[in-house]
Amino acid sequence: MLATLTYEELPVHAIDLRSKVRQFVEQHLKGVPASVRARSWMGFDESFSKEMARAGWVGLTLPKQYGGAGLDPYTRFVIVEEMLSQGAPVAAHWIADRQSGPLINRYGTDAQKEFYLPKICKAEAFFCIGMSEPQSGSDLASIKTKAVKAEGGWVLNGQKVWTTNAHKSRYMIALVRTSGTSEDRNKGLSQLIVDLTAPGVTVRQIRDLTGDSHFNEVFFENVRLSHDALIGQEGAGWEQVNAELAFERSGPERIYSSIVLLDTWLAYLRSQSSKKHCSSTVRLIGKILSQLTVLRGMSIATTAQLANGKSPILEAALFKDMGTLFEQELIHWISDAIGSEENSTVDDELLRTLVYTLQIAPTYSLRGGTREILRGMIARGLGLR
Amino acid sequence: MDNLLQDSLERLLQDLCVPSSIGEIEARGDASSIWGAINESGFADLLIDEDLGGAGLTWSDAFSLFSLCGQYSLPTPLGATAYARSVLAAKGFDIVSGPIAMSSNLAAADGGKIISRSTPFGKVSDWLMGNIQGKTYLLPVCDAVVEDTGIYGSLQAHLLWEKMPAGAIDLGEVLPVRNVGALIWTPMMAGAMSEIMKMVLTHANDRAQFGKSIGKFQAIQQQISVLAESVQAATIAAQMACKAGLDKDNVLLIATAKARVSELTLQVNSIAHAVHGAMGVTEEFHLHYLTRRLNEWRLDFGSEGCWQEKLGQAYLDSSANGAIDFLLQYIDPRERVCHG
Repeated sequence: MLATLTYEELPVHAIDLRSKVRQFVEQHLKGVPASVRARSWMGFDESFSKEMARAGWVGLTLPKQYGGAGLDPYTRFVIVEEMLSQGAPVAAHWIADRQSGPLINRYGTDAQKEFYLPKICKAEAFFCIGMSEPQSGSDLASIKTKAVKAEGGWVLNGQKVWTTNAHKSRYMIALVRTSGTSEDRNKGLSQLIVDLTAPGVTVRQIRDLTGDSHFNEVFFENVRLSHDALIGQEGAGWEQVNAELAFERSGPERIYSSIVLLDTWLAYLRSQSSKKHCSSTVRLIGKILSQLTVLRGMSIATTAQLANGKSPILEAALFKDMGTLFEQELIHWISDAIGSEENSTVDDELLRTLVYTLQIAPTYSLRGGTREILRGMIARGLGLR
Repeated sequence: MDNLLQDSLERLLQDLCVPSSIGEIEARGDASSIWGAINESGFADLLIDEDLGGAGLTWSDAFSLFSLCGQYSLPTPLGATAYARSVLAAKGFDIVSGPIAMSSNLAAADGGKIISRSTPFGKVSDWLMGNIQGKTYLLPVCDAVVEDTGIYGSLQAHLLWEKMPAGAIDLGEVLPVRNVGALIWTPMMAGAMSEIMKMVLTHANDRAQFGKSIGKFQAIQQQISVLAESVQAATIAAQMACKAGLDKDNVLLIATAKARVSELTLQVNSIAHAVHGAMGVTEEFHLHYLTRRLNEWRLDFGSEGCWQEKLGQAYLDSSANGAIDFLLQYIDPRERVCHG
């Protein structure tokens, strides 16, 4: 059943970090155009990530002994919010910071933690996630990539697809079958850390409709992995993946993906200050702001549950579904507002930002669990028999 | 509001708000049968300051009070009365015992007449709190012509005073009645929506077609998820506004909440009725008590458009640098304080 989420304000200690983070981002993004910043957390910039690491902001929730910042979820919320609000290019370290690092911290051996976590915190090791396969998207339990025991460890064969930034990452956390057959579905799956420079690994970029190519196919042909490629328990891969879903789905990245477009449009409207804005435009601004404010409140309330050691998987799924719809709808509303202008003075940069965001927007509700799957999950979580 | 108080109010409302009783009250246009119990319970005094004899409940605590009123479709203006009584007490007036309605729709007409059209709870109230002639008054309904709006089952009424009544209570200043109304109505609506959610889940599990409960069908599941999201959003919106309270600096948060919850009404009602089928639009079934109220309450104290316009204009008038910056500088109370 749905827990009654209770709204809380962000604690003061989290808010105190805000101006510092904002200044950092402003400084490092000077001159970067909106149409580039519109990539949001898909924007990859290794040197930016290294600068963030120097500032102590990579590995936000990882322990200080490994170079992490040891921060609580509220503080992470504020930092991420400041990053995303300006479209900072956080992609390089994003996966490691948000999922892979915490996974290794939670399930890893001491040796694994000592090996990987400091590299993550210094933005020296970038991670990607290997889950989907050509025949296994939403039906993740049907994956066929297989690791069999061999001398020294494992031999890996198979293929992953839609692996964001595999071409620029050193490591992949891959969900693979280590025992049983496909009929066993989510049993017999494990998570393995794959060094993508290993022999037998081939990475091929896939260009998307905006001209970017962060997606990849990754092929494994008899890739040899040592025993310590296994993270956590053998056969517990499914549970381990699911344990993180509340973290992945509850953050402000599920409502701010199109914020650069929104802010670019708002700045454009301000530049027209001598012209009186029509009531439908004024209302649209208010509609977007009211929806955004409430969604932000939902994210904070869900983050509060995480901070209190709970696992709000249902609430996070619900928030992600509603948030990503908002991210998409606001683009359409703004498109219409722009398209309805008489004697339009809209500049090229706004148009480029608009069209980029419009074209990439379907991915907001595909990534991290598709809309239709999430809604089915939510319904079952509500107790529909 | 502490759990004891909340449970106690809930038990009272469970007794008083049996659907058949609500139906009778709506048909008769008279809630005196339950007002006595409400008055005696003391819940209408909760917002009065402690040193003036009340419970000194904050707006944040009052979220539960208002929400329960909505959840149980209470056919009297308990929320508005609680607020009005706190004002009366603070200003040293005697507390009136009858139910007090509130309206932001009070207007002057020719010859000194005062009209309040579509007054929420107008049929079942002894007083109306509203702004006229530059001040806030409590006007006695007994001195008004009470006109039925002709809307089936509605507790609204048009109220007409030929002139300012002698028994009017002049509160001596202009209170932000529209903001207050929005702040009370938002948790009422969220409460009604949470009750709708429960009914929908129960029905989806209980009703079977094609050999299984309808809640097993994907199309129904998708809709119910959307409903759950809407109800969660409405609840959070109302909590955010109540937590911030009535301070004039918080008007944009009130605007946000009333706009959002009003906007969600269509979706909530539409899904609720879709899941319940034809039975859901009958008088005998109880869904309509909730969905009819939501439709009316959406329009009270401003539906989404006017509050969105207020927010939008506030953005254009501000010096904020983008949506999040605006939110942090002008809407979020704690962020505003932290960053000055």
